[in-house]
Formats: sequence, C-alpha cells, structure tokens
Amino acid sequence: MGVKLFDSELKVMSVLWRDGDVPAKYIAKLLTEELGWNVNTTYTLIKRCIKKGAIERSDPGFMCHALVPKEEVQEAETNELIDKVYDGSVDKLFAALLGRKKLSTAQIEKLKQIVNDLE
Amino acid sequence: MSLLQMSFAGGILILAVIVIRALAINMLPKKAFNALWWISVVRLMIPFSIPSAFSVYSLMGSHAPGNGSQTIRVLPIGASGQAIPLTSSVLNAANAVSTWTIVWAAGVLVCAVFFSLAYWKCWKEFQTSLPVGNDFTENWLCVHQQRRRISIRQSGRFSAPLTYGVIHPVILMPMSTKWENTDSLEYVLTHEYVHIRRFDSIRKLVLIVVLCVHWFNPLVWIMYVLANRDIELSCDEAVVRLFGENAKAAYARALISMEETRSGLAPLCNNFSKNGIEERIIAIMKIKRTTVFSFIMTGLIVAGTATMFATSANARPQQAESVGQGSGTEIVTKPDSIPQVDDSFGTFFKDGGRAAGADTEDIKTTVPVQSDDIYGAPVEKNSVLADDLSGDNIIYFDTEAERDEHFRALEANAEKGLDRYAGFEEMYAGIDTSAPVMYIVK
Repeated sequence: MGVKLFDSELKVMSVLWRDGDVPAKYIAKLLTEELGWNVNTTYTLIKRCIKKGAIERSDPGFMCHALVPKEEVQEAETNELIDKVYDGSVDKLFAALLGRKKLSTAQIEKLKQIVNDLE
Repeated sequence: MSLLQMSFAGGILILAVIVIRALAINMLPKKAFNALWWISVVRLMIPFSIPSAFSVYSLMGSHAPGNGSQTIRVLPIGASGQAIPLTSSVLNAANAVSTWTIVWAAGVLVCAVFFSLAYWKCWKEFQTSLPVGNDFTENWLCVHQQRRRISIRQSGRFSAPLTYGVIHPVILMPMSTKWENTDSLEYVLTHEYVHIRRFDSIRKLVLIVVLCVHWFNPLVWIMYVLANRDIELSCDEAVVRLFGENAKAAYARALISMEETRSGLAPLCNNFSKNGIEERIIAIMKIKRTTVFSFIMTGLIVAGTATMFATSANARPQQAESVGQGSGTEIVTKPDSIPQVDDSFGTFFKDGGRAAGADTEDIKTTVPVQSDDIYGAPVEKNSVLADDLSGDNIIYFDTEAERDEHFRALEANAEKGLDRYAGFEEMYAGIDTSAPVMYIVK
C-alpha cells in the first residue's frame, strides 16, 4: 500500500502534485502565505515526507520531487496519535500524568449512564 | 528554611488538601481547591516560614513538651537542619552534603529537560496545524474577543481540543471535529476560552516548575496530577455557570462524545485517566449554585487550612516576625564521629542554593538572622560563619535530658534579661557563642 501521511504533510505534497518539482524554499514561501506556517515548520514537514519516502530531494537548490502520486497516499488516521508518532516514553508519561488517554466503549457507556443517573 | 523543610511542610499541606478534596470535592466550588493548591505551591517555594499560634506544629509541640527534641527532629521548623531524620552515616560522610546537592540538582535537570523536551515536541506539532475558517468559528471569535488575539486551528496530530500560547493563544481542534455540530462546539470552545482568560497555561507551567524543584517528593507529584485536574474541573464549573445549570447534562454529553470520537480502538486503558474523566463528569453533574453558605465554608476551609498547615510553630507570638531560616543551634544525636559539616540539609540550600562552606566570602556576608531553637523560641545568632564549620564549637552531653535541661536554663537566662550563657562560663570556655554551637549527645 501507499504511504501514510498526516494532513499537514499532505499540504506539502499537494504543492508538489500541483506545481511539479519545486525548491523547498518555494514550498515554504507558499505555505507561509497560505497557512501561516513558519519556514522551519515546512522544512520539518518536508524532512518527514522524505523519511516516509514520499519526497526525494536533490541538492542544487533543495529541489523536491514527489515520489508517490496523489492516488497512492492514505491519510494517516487520528488514532495513530502522538504516542505512536514519538515511539512512546516522553509523551506517554505526559499523557498518563494528565489523564489524556483513550477510553473503551464500556467506559464511555458507563459515563453516559452516570450523566443519565445524575440528571 | 531549607529545601527539605519546605518540601516537608509543603507535603503536610498537600496531605491536608488531598483529604479535604477527597471529602468535599463535590460540595465546594472548585476554586477552593485551586486556592488550596496555590497555597501549597507558595509553601513549597518560599524559603521562609510564617509562624502562627494555630499552626499544627505549634499544637503538636504544646502537647508533647517533654518530647521536644524527638518531635522537633521530624518537624520542619524549630531545629532547622533536622527536618528529616538523618542517619549517622549521612552525617559522618564529610562530603554527604555535596553528594545530595548533586543528586538533587541532577534530578531537577532531568525533570526540566524532560518537560522541555515534551513541550518542544508538542510545540513543533502545534506549528504544523492548519487554519480553520468557517462561518461558525469566525462568528464565535467575533463574539469572544480578547485583548490577546485568539485563533482557531486544526491538527491531525492531537485527539482532543487544547489551547497553547499565552500571548497569542491558539485553540487547536482535532481533525475529527464535526464542525456542523455547533451546540457541542460551543461548549468545547468556551471551555478553551475560559482556559485562555484564566491564563491556565501559566498555572500549569508553575506547577511543572514546582515539580522539577521538588521531584524527590512523591506528594508533590500527586499534587501535580490533582491540581491539573482541578484546573479542568474549575474550568468546567465556569462553563456551566456561563451556560446556566440546565446545560450541565448537555455539556457532560458533549465531553463524552469528544472522548468517543477519540477512542476508536483502545486496547489498554489506564485506570488513572478513567478515574479522571469519571471524576470530571460526576463533578459537572453535581455543580451547585454558589450559596452564601458554600461561599463562607470555602473561605473558612481555605483560611483554616492555610493557617494550620502553611505556617510554622510559634511558641512566642510576640516574635511572630522572626523568620526561621538560620541554624544557629545544632542538635545532633549520637553521631559515631564528629560531623565535619555544619549540618547536612539545614543550611545547605539557603542563600539561593549555594552550598554552605563552598564559598567563604558569601557566607561571611550573610546577615545575622534570628533562628529558632528546639522550642521554637528565637535565638539571636549570627548565621553561619565559615570558620566555625570546622567543629570547634561543640558541647557534649551525656543524655538528651541533660541537653534539654541546659536549653531550658539558657532560655531562663534570656527571659530574666541576663546574659544567655550566665552561669555556664566554664562550659562555654573556648566556645565562640557568636557562631553556631553544636550540641551533641554522646
């Protein structure tokens, strides 16, 4: 199957799909105007796309080339959250401390029941 | 006060707040708990104590007068430096002090790096968020204007709505947000809006700073978790008040459905968060109108807890302004050999965390302070003079009773207006009473 990309990465890709091979600088400038992104933010996302094999970069002028066509890309799901993205530790502990964890269906049902009971 | 004393006194206060919270979480306005946590934070962070006759430490002291030295060794105020019972092996090691500072400082560093890293990673993710522009959000932003410009963005990397940024707050919504579900959105956005208005991100940052400094204190970790929850609960309470009490159930359901969109498949769930969200839903459903009674109760509980647990022992109210931060008098029980250092913890972290004895110039310039002896009565002393850390100023006793008797005699002298050491000239021959004196029971 194709590459899984997050929505922000898709924004980078869509520039390449629309305008063809362009320098990284061009993408950054465009997305700053369009989305209010910092130049470094765009570069970070380009690097991520390179890592995922979606973009190939050639050196003169950091030309970016889309390796995957639009049709082969899947939008990464929200369920694969930061804990997966960062292979764990740091954010998991953070999440555990602040109680940001997903609930099971049974737990959701229980919460709904509590609301009904107390209403 | 040394860091350990602050941590101990803060810990006692945290215990008190945990008990009050467990008993009255749905009876008092949530602001009460936030206030109590802030008092705990202040107790943990300010290096001096506020004596009060109503302090638990005063009360305990008066019930066990004969047992003073034993009691005082585990109480933070009084004989400073003896906040935590020390083993003789710790005292023996001449370099024990520096070892502990290094361990403490390393812990602070690890915590600080950990939290900075976690935040930095999140921050980088925040930056990749996409702008949101629809009629509903534009309308909402028009209605909810602040001096600081708020913006709403969207990200696929976060599953729950959150707010970041202090100067330019941004409400970050998950990608799964159903923008057509405006009723639910209104609640969620208002919740974040209350966070922004209350500068809750700064509150959370302060809690992290306290946690880093007191990383060795498990009660501070508990405080961190509970205080963060109480910030949420208090925020929920404000939202319900804004929408009216009839909105309680609708608001609770909106929160649950947010959880639902997030959950999808959740194989392993930790109890901790489950209790957190359950506590939150129940708290929302049980929000009551603030009555005069609950208002007065809140005031009494907060003020009462603060005076009882956030203050130190005070045997003599007229000396209330004295600040117990020196350690003129040392009480050391049965060391195997003579300690080389002034004390292991007491003077250690004072003066902005410089180690006692590390820099002679710094210590010599320390102003004279009043310090408490074991009975909580202030004793005029020059605080640490570097030359006297060597161990010359030591008076030995055969028993603790003898030592305590001697302290009483000194007190009596002071009360009569005599020279404090009158009648003990022989005992104090060769002792420099302007410097800290160590009293050691053989």
